Amino acid sequence: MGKAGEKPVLIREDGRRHDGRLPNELRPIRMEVGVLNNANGSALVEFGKTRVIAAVYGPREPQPKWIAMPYRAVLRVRYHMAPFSTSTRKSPAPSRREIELSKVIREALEPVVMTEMFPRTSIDVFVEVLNAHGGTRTTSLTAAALALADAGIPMRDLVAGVAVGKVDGVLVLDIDEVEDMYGEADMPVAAAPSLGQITLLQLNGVLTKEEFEEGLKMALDGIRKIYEMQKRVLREKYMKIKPEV
Amino acid sequence: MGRLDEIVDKKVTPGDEICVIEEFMAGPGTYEDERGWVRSAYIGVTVADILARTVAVKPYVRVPELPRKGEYVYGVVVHVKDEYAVVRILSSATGRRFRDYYTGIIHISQASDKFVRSLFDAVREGDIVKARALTTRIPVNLSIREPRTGVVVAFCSRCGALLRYRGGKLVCPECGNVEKRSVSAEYGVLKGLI
Repeated sequence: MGKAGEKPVLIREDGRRHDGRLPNELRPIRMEVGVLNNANGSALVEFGKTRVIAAVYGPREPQPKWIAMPYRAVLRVRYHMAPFSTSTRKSPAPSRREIELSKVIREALEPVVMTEMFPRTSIDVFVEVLNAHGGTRTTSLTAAALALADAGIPMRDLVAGVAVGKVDGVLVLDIDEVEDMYGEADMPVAAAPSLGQITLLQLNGVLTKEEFEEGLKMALDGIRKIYEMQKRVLREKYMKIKPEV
Repeated sequence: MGRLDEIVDKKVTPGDEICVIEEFMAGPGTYEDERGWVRSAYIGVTVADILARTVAVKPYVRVPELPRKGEYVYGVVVHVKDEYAVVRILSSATGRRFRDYYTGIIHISQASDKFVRSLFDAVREGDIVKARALTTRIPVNLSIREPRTGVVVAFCSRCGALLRYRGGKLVCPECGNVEKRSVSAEYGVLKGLI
């Protein structure tokens, strides 16, 4: 996070945002699965300048053993920001924020992962933020869901996430770092679109009831688009190389 | 059969609707949601079993597998006590490596079909055993009672050399030490692993 300097023009006169996007427009998104050789599943996701890599290991025997649960697998998530991911160096030690985001991401994934199929094991998800430019938790969640599917772990649905913000009184989709820093509100949302279930909803700042409802609708529309991209990238990876088995 | 074509041979990702349970019930790789839809749990292709009226998803990804009940597995003995031994299960006897190791236990009652006073007479630390999985829960209960199961690779407890099976005995070719084990009829054979 940079220092709060002069506030830039967030909404231009033509109604576009500081980077030229429309209010309900996502940043350019790039996704890739199977990027790591030694992980059971992995994915790289970019939302604009935000870049996140996720790796999944397991199900394997948990260490320490006492965390094993007799009726289901434990899902462990480590969200971590690389020291070079921010403009000023970030200490590699897990901060309060990273520990909280690990928990938030884990709880957003738990409803879709069929942990009950692998009792007494652990499924470990490692999320590394390579470049932070706003919306890292939703990017991480999108990457983690892809990596889990890539690892062959049974899932009820994929999870995709996006944040909605309010800048200069306008609701905007997929806010970046600048809009987050100078905006009035930030609302990350994640959902399992096929099941129609929201698995993550946070709100930082103030929104009226009408703004909240409008913002949630925008977020869910954005999630639907990201979800289609997730499905497309999984199809491209697995179904073009091996069209029929 | 227009509807069947809509269900079968479809490329799916997790969460994709396949059919409703009145059409086909949820088979392997699928699940039933609370609204009665059968959905995919994997990236794969749908296959229907017309006789059983189930639909399954054949995964394109390598799915994680745990040792199955009754399956023969290979493992390394990591710890021995008088009454039980701890085994690190690494692969199935067909040579299919598991994603990670899983812990197994050999109890003295499952060590041999003959009387065993101490499990140190059946297995030693570092031995590779072929065993049968009796349960699927971790730690997996293992049996080496059958003739084909038991120690398949053993090392001398005095000098560490690979033991040879000669005339019904395990003999160390380096120091001549003779050791006791619950030896498998397949001693020296590691099918599919090497």
